[in-house]
Amino acid sequence: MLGYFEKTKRVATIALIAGTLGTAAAAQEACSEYTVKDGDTLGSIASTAYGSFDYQMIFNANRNKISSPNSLEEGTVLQIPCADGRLSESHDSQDVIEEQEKLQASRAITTNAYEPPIKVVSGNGWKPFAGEDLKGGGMFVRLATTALNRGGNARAHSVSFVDDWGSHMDTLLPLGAFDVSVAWIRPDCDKYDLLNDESRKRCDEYDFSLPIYETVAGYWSLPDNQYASVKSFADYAGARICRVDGWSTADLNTEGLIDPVVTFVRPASAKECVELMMKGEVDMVSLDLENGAAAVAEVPEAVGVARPNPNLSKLESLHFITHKTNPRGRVYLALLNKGLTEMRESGEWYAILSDSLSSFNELTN
Amino acid sequence: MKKLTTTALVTLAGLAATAAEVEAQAACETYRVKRGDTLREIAQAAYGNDEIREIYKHNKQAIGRNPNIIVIGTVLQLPCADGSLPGDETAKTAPITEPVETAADEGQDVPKVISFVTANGYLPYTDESLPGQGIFTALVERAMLRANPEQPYTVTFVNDWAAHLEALLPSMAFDASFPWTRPGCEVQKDLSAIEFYSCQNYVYSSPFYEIVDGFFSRTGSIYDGATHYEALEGATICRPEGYSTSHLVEANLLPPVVTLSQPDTAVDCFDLLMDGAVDVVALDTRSGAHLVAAMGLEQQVSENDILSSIVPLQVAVHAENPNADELIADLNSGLILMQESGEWRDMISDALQGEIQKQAGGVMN
Repeated sequence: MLGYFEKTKRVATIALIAGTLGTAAAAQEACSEYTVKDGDTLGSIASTAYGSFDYQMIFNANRNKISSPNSLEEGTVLQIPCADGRLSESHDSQDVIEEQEKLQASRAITTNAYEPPIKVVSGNGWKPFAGEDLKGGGMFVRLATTALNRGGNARAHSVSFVDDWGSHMDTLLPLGAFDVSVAWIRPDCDKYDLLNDESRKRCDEYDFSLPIYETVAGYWSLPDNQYASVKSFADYAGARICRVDGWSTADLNTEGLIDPVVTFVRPASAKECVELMMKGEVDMVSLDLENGAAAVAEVPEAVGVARPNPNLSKLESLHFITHKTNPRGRVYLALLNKGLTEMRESGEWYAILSDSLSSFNELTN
Repeated sequence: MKKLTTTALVTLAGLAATAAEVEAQAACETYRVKRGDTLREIAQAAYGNDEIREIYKHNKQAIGRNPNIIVIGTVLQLPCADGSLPGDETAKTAPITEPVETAADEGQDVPKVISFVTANGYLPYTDESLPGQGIFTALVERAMLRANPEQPYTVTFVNDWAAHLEALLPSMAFDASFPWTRPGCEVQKDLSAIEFYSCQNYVYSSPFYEIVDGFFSRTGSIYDGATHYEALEGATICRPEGYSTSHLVEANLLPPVVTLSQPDTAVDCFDLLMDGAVDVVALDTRSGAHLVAAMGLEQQVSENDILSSIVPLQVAVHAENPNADELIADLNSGLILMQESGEWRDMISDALQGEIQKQAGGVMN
């Protein structure tokens, strides 16, 4: 879904509509704790709390409690983030980050050996994830530079921005001009035979860190559509599926959903997909939650009506990558993984997410 | 550069260093070096063999760094049959400073040949079937070439790692073995017998390469995705015999906390994993991933991305080896030359590229 062509189109927001419904404390409200009841889905919780089906931030904030977005267990206590991304009223992302920075400064990490700086490369225009004009170089770049100073690391590094994303894969990393690129989707390499050449190349030539972020891919339909709540991908057989032209369909292809099992419609924009759905010309729109909710918001009659399939979703994970010919590649990924693991556990991972989002929103307001 | 390569499965009995046969001519006495003497001749006269190492070992200070050069008038203590030294220390006079270039004088040009020993099966680092006989083998040989091109050496494969440290090097059958990791001598509390011996008796080159030691388990098992070492307590862990246990020590995963299985090879470990006889395979992650692919186990075996340790690989030399200082100095200076020129990086990168092409070829079949 997020091939390098798409990075420039990506805009992340927490889509929300003013005036939520709930009044009671047990209601699903932004900025509060909520205990899952029978029949709840992340989509329905987001809808009540934010007025949109975009539950990406709820998923992010509760990543360690939710194994799959489609199987929510009754009784799970979820933290529903505030509209600005904070976990709660009293939660200050900057405090969490500062605390971790102080902890790091107090650790004496010494080494005898010379350690060459790790050369990190990213690109501009991928808001809010990467860009020189963004705080810390963007959310994903911040995750990388922070990880190199957590989990027992104190690693010198440099960050550069090369806007030709294709060149990262084709030239910069294979030649060793840079060590790590931020950040790339990992294809489902277990389904190698069903992948296109570019994805196969990623599987063959690259090593991946732990996921740094997982975008929830949603499959949106109108409630009365026959495909609205199918329970398996195979059940989409015969459907007309809308997917923005140029955006990858690998997530569906690897499930056997290819022409002529299904029919793909490829307009130029996400908004057009939603319009086609409202006109009944397509059955399902394949869009990640954030882009999906944003597109729905642009089509007034779709708001509150078009919704992602509560039974099916996919996680598209983003990673730091190194080329397999980099002699130190695996070592660098091991270091990054240690840092990331500590950040997930300390809450700093989420704090950077929400701090980057709010900083980005300030920039754009 | 002269190089001889042989492959031998050596029986240990034939190599065991026993006390030299003493022909009681000049053994157990002090002896003053005369013009024309060589250590070899002295050993022949005293012991009936060429074992100059015993004489050198007990007279290092008197002889100096190079056993080929003994100074006229030097008083040597020739060890007795039981290894003890003669008590007579009266015959000490200042040696005439006229170095006897014994090798040249006698026309017996027997240049010392440095003998390295390694073993097969540690892909892609050491294996006769690989280009350069493995990445690590190639690096060591190149370092010797860069640092000391006139120094002849041999590389032999003896497929019994434990024997290298326990018998082959102590008996001086070989000068050096690779790859090994120096135990944490200063910090580790419970060193195993061989680790303690290594700390006392081995000297190590600088690291030629760093690997990431990690864990592999059956996909979907309770160990798959373990985030803390505690999760592996009670498991049966497989690690081939002779491989360093530093990662397990660091993780506090040694018997009785876990059960340790130590078959001959890494392939054995994966077979045991598939049979259910072991729960987890502890191995270098690149080497393990390579084997998993070669054995066609990608779907059944998962690599743990979180629990890993970065481990240096070095060349080990017995401290009592008269060549130790010079050899370590050569290896280290050769390595520095290779790193400065970029040769280190290029050699490894090219070898890893060869690995990619192999893999890609395999998968497309």
